[in-house]
Amino acid sequence: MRSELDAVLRDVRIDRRRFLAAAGVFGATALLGSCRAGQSRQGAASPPASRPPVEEEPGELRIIEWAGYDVKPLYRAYLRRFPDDEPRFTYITNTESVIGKVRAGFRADLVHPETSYARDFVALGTMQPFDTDLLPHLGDLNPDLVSVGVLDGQQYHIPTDWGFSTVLYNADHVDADEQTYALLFDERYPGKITWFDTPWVLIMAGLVLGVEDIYDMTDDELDEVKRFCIDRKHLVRNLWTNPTDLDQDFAQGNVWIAYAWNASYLAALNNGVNAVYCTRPKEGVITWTEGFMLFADTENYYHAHAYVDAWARPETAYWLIENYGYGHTNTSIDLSRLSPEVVEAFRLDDPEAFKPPAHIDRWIPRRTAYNAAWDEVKAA
Amino acid sequence: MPTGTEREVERRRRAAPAVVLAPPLVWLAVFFLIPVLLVAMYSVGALTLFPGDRYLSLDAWARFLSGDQVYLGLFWRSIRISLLVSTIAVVSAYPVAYYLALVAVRRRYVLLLLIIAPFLTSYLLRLLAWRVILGDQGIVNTFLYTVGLREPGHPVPWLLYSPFTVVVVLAYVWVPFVCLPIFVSLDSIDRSLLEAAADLGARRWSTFLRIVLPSSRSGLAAAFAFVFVPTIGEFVTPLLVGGPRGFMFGNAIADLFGPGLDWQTGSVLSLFLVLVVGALMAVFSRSFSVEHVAAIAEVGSAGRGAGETAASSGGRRILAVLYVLLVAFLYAPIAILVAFSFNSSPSVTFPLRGFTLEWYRAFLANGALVGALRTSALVAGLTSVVAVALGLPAAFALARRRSRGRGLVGGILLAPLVIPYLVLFNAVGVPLSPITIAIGHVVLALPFSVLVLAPRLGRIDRALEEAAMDLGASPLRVFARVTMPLLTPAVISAALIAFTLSFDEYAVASFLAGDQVTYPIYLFSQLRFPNRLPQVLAVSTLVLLGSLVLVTAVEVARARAERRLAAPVAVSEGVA
Repeated sequence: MRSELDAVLRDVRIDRRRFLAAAGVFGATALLGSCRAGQSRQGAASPPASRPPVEEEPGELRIIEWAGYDVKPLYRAYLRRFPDDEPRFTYITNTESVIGKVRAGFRADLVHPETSYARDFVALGTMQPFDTDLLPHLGDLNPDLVSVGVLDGQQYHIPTDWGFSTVLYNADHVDADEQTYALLFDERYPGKITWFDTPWVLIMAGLVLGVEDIYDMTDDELDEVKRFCIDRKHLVRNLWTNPTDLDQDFAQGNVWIAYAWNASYLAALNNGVNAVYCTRPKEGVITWTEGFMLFADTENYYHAHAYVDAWARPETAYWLIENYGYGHTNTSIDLSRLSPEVVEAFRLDDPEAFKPPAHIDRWIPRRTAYNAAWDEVKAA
Repeated sequence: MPTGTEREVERRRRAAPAVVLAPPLVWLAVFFLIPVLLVAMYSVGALTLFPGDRYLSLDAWARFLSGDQVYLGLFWRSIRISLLVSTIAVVSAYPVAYYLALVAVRRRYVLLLLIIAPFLTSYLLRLLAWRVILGDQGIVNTFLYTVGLREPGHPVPWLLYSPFTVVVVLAYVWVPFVCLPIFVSLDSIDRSLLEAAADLGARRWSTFLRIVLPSSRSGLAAAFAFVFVPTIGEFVTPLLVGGPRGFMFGNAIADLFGPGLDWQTGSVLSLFLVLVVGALMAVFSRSFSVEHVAAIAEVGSAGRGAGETAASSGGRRILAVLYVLLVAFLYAPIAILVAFSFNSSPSVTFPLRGFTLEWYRAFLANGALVGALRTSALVAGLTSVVAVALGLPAAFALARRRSRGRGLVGGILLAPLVIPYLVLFNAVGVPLSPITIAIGHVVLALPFSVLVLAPRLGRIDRALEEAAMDLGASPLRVFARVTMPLLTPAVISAALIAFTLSFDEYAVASFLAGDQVTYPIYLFSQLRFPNRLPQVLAVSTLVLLGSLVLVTAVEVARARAERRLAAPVAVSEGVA
């Protein structure tokens, strides 16, 4: 870790020099930017000893958060402890643009990205690990998922919410003998399939074609899944970009087979569709997770921990599952409080849900190549 | 003493263009050119997203230009779609603008604002409504089933999620914006010319072809650029309704800066787009030349119709029908949004389930949403004021100066229409706030403002201003008492365009927003939770209502102002 930090700091210096060179060319505005960028990166090295006690912290937490996650029932325990410290939210529309903003010097106390981006935030040199002793409810969270938040031996990311990325289909129109990702590429249903607009489709195709490591495909494998997707693209009605689109299309009968998250399954049931959600595809189900990361230069170290711990509590878990149809990593909740459909949609009673062959969402080292291949699929 | 004053006036007149041009050029230099240079640095690896990735190389450029990647092909696809959309939008807007400018004279501002007003309803929500109209169980297909043109269960497959949908929706979005510059240029045509043509026995068609159409050339050119340039870089519409074959150049850029986190290739694509559009614009800005109509001495005759000479009574009726059709086309998706805002099911799917006011209650209790609306109003207000204030001097320079550098100035002014906003302010690192959003939006809105103001300015008779100067008025006074009143319709148009553009803008705002987000950003991030959609529909209904109230208020204020201005206008007409 120490050497890693040193590497980051070295980079900061190079970066700063380059920035200053740029500033010489571009004038005062750019100069301002470089100073900020340089200044804030130094925060990564700030020693813990200089940290003020909780009562001396400014207290107004700034959180980069998904809209909809900004509601009080999700952090009630925090407000009980700090009734006057209502947090302020900046919204995420996609995590990549947050990475861009943070790269540009934008700062907050906490950010709520997918676990698969945790490594990118750390690479920016702007994050610090959590002190797990300050998170009493961490022990209740699913260890299989919590372990994914450990980078370089430290808990940089606390996974709180999760869901499946798998196949949803309309059983009135689709005839399936078994649960499989192959349904997303099924020649029998031209024009009735929708994919999520993401390179993860390539990963699902990889599962169907049986590649060795879906998260680290070789050039040949990537080329193979790309050609497979291009070949099956004529089946696809739409590439959805947000669940609102998907739910609307599924309810309206525009599509019968979808790449979907759990909430869309529950929405489809609610809309009266005879829906089946493949939580046990034969290739192993793909699971995404999201959670909190802590900025290195936060002035609200203890407040931020209290906030994350509030999110880790069972009361938050119930609310998230019941109101949004999103999974929560807390495993101590009482399943009898939830409807059987919900328990089954998340396999909450299944201790093996995150064990192999399940595939937990993770950082993809060759992301640029995956994305280029996906662009070729879309442009074809 | 008199000679001294004359010399002073002459000196000031000469110095004026350089001085007035400074603020808009400085603005663009700081907020546009610097970011472009930063993009250029990203494109060769001199700057990188992650500190560890740095290396200098032209590989990304070579890969792009060689055509081995898919991106160059996508560029041509985008050009084709943009051309199609611009042509459709201009052709459908022209008769309506003609009707408003020359036929429906008394109520024309109300009628014009009626076209613009609903566009304060979010673009995103209108897209959503289009999907309800064009979907397999949607209004169009249901109609076709009912009249027996299609078998139930066999919808027209290309209605939704196809390049066709992209073209329809983009044309739908841009038609109102296109109306404005055409309206302004038609409005500036000297009515006495039309009367003279009629007196000399010219038929209406030949009057139209020989006088009206040539005189509106600059407005047409502006209108075309209005649509063409921003649609080349468009990515939201193809993303939401384009389906698997709607992927465009703008989507590739958004993908590279977004999920791909490949800023180097993204920067290559963006810079390429900026260069192409900059070159196009430099050429295009020449058509601002007013020489071809310079012989026609004219006075802006705001408020005067052309009566019988513009259209026969039959023609007038046809034009009125076209207007009504356009309004129906524009309002249909909005009517759907209003209906669903009272629907008791959270799902935007027919049939409607039952009546409820629940979503309105939920909206009023939603502080974040109310705050986002307030931020948007603030940003849009700031944007429209600054864009017009900077647009006026820029338009002066473009319309009045006959210097060689004009093409270049024009190119610089208009190129921001396609700048890759994702990186614009990114590397600068100023604290983000509603002010930074407004700064970005001014860069966006400035070209539009110039495109609306310049044609009108070009046609104001300079003899009027010179006469006022000779009579001893200071340049400022001349501007305030002569030029400005004649420019008023164009100023209102420019301010409205800037306001609407900013109020609904998502891509730039999402990058420039700090703690206070705007309404479109809130909305976009909200799509993750479908059951929160209805309260957003409630908001859009209220915004629509509010904008209709605003339209009425503007019209009342304008009518009053017109009465006050009646005297000076009469004087200026006397001079001519």
